[in-house]
Amino acid sequence: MKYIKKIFFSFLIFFFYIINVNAELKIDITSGYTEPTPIGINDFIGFTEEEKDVAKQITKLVIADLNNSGLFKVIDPKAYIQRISNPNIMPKFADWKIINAQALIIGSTKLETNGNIRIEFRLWDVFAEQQMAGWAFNTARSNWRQISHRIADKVYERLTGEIGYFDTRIAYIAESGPAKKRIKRLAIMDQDGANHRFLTNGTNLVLTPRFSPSQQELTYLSYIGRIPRVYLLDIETGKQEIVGDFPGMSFAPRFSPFGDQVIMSLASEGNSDIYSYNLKTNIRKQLTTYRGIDTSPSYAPNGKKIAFNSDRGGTPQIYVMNSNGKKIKRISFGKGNYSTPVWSPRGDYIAFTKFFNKTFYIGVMTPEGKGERIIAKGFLVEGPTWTPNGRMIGYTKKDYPVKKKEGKTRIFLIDLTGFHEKEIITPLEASDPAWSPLLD
Amino acid sequence: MVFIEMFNFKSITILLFTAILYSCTTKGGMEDVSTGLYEKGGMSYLDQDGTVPAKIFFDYDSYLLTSMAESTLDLQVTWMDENPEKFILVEGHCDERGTREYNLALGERRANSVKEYLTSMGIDDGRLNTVSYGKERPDKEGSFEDSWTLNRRSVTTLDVDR
Repeated sequence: MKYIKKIFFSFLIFFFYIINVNAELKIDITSGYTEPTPIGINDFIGFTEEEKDVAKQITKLVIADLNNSGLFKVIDPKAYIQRISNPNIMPKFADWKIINAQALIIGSTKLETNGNIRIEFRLWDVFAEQQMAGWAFNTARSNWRQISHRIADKVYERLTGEIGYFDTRIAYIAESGPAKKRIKRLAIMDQDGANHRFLTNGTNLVLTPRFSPSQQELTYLSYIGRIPRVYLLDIETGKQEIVGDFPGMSFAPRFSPFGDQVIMSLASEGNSDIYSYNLKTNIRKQLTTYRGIDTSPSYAPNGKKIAFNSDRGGTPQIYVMNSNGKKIKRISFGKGNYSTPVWSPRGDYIAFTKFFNKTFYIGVMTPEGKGERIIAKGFLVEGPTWTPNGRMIGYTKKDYPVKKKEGKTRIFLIDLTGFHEKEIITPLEASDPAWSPLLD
Repeated sequence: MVFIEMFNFKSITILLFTAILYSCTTKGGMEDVSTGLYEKGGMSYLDQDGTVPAKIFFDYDSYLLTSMAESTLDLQVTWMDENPEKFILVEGHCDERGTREYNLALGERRANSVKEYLTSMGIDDGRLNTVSYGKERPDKEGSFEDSWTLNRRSVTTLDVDR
């Protein structure tokens, strides 16, 4: 018995990825409502006072991320029976089964002499009584937030099979003031609300920011000089520049999947058309010619197709065309007006805003226009943005008026099943959320 | 003698104060939307006498001019003929019952409808600029039909940038 235990313990010391196909804990996040899976997160272990401080911060952030995803419910540590202070031992599974923890995370932090932190953690499948995975991170101490998000990502990925989205940012429009004199500012923050900062000061109206694939830039609409035009902003330096030299109004910009083009609408003389603009060559290409409204273009993740909003059929509807402007096909056919198409980063769905019978809806459909599904509704909901794993959607929501007072405008997140809606907390009111892609 | 001087000083102060207040309240949003207009009885006019209304209104999701709109625009045309040195900015606006980008495009169509009508009535199109504010600059607050009706509009103003 001692001999077997010895082998088992030395096995534990190495970070092995164990696969047990039959009994493995797995959370399905694509088919209908899932009750949050209860899990235990033992406080990350540190030995010195400093290490304990960092460990506490990391634990707090990992718990918040996993709880906020709506898929996990981290059991209150007050209910834990076993308190683990040695990261290398095997947990007493009975103590965790009793409180119904399906999975258990045990981690430790160590401050190195060069100022870095080293974090090691393991994910245990409690009912199968085995280690699912183990990881180690080594980074500058100032990166502790990012590492915490990455830890949450790893746990999320291992338990759902989907890519995590916690190490991302949100750009959006911060709103304040009365409706007639609304002040709008470009803002950015980590997806959990940390590191919030304003990127413009509210002097000029700004709308609809979108990230570049590299995350270094935003493209958006600004009314500098009272002329609505598409701009690029370098997020680090704050430097703004106009995209192209177009007469008339340019708006509704988005980057292409490879970041080399910006696609947008140009409007003049009562007509708006979709153009692509190459940022390197400065060559622009007109993609639609219908005399009416063509706007809100969005590339498929493989760059081969574009979804857009057009009223060429009489009412606002969603169309898909090849990225050269050919083979335009309508894909929305339900009752109501359809707009703001946004292609999922996974390519499998197009999200949209629908307006029917005095109510707004956020929904998804396949790129062929099939399987329309509504996932959110409200007095005014619009402008979906996908998390980079293509499994959740952020959007703008304005509440119903209450006692003659206009409702507040805020941003919300909901998952593809239409459940786990939660508000994204911002310092002021908020609209036009744009979720960053994943950093490679 | 002294009493009369005091009275004059007081009325000048009151006049100044009122003038400052007035200019504060009639200023538009951050970009000075709808500038240079005269407010009278809750309506905006291009002229000081309040005979040339600056705003016309549209049906939901429409950019077509109603006959009432055209009558108002006819008055504007006359005023523009009488003031040939003025440069004009036509704003297009929408109510909030639509998505942001579509409404930017619709606002542009509304402003353009007005511009086309004015030029068809002989106004030199070099005098006319248009701008769309989509649903961003409502005229009447409130998430109700009576506000929305007033927000689906086009406003003819003086172009302060020319």
